[in-house]
Amino acid sequence: MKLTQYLVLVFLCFLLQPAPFTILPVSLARPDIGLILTLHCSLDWGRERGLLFGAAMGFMRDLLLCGAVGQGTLAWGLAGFTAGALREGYISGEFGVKLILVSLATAADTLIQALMTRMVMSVDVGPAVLGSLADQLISNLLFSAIALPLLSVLDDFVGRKSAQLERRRRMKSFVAGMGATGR
Amino acid sequence: MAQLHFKDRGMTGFFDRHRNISLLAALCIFSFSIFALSARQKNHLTPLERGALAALAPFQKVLNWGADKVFDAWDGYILLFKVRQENELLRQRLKQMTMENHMLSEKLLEYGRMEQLFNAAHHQMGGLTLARVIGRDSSGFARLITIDKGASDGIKEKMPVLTHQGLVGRIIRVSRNAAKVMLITDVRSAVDALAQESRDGMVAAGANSQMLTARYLRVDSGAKEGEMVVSSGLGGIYPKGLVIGLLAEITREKEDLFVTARITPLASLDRLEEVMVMKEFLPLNLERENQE
Repeated sequence: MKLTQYLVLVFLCFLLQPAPFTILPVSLARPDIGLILTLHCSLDWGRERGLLFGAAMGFMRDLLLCGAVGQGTLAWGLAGFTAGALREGYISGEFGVKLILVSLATAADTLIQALMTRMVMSVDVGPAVLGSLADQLISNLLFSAIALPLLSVLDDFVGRKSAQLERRRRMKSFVAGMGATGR
Repeated sequence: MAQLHFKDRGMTGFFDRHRNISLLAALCIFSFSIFALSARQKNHLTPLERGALAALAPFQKVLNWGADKVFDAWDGYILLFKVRQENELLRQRLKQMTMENHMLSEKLLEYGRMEQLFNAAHHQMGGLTLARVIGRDSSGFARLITIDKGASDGIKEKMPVLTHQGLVGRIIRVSRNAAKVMLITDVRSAVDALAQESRDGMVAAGANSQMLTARYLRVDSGAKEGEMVVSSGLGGIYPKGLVIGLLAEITREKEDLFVTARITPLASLDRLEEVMVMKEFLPLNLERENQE
């Protein structure tokens, strides 16, 4: 998947993230769309770019939504790196695996938030944050169940279109080359 | 320089060898640093945050505006769906309410008429019983109505029946819970009457039509068209002074003894729904029977 497509998805992500999801129950937490996109991207791109993408997304999330800068940067960066590293050597990019990764990343995100707050600010937010973990997990999994198949379809579509365009480009250059040789 | 170059190569080589650890360490250091910075200035924005917010604010505004539009549209769609369901429900309620409204309007009109009847009754005399018209017989042979009051309510034959507009007729048959009323338009009916202003006597006779015939009105009488005709009380069938109608179509022939005239009843005899029976007025024959 090309960078431009990811930029569009990032735009959509930050368009959707602050908006109220009226189709979901009110009691549920908002899904971390950026985290899900980070995991998808990391499985596609690998650990290094996954880390950078995750850190950038987390940083944006911190700046735009939370206000406590650094937590999302670290958590999502680590999630991107880990997912990319696992994809390179150990796991496949199947739907079930992605859901497990979403669950683990959500838990890690929550734990890192609690840990960083405890370490740096000496405030124990652990019980409160862990209490919201279940809600966040359900919300993320529900959203993943809808979004991940759509992302896969989009990947396939973009891949096919890119391949078609590449073939046409090569054909044109070949025809142009043949014409020049003929002259 | 050579030593520095060697050192540079050594550092690069270290990062190349430990690329993953280096990236993670950089991430951790960066994250903790900015977190510590932002945590220390809890009540103030760090320059980084300030800069980011300043840079991102217009972008965020656009995002929020877009998100608002998208979800407004979505909410509008959901609302539209709900409105459709609500509309169906309200339409049903409207039908129900319209039906109830018609019924209530009917009741209101009925009470209005009854109120007029009561007012007329109080104005004229007591002893009136309200009755509802439950049947009609307007064939070519008779003009009759049936009322829902009978002997059990004290109704007797020959009792006068009227509305607030005037005389209607009299009771001719009584059963336990109903009674037949012969209207003044019935061909068998004849009411001794007076022209209200000229005081000329006549007989208001029924003709099985909507109008009555004025009989025995003398040709030299001063009665005019539009003059009120009231009962004279002669004969003891009806009390004196009950309104019958208005004189109309007066035709005078010099060689005749009496004029030809018609009387238009004031009471809407074709549309009677409630009437009053004068129970306290006893026709002469009834009085006689009672005396005996």
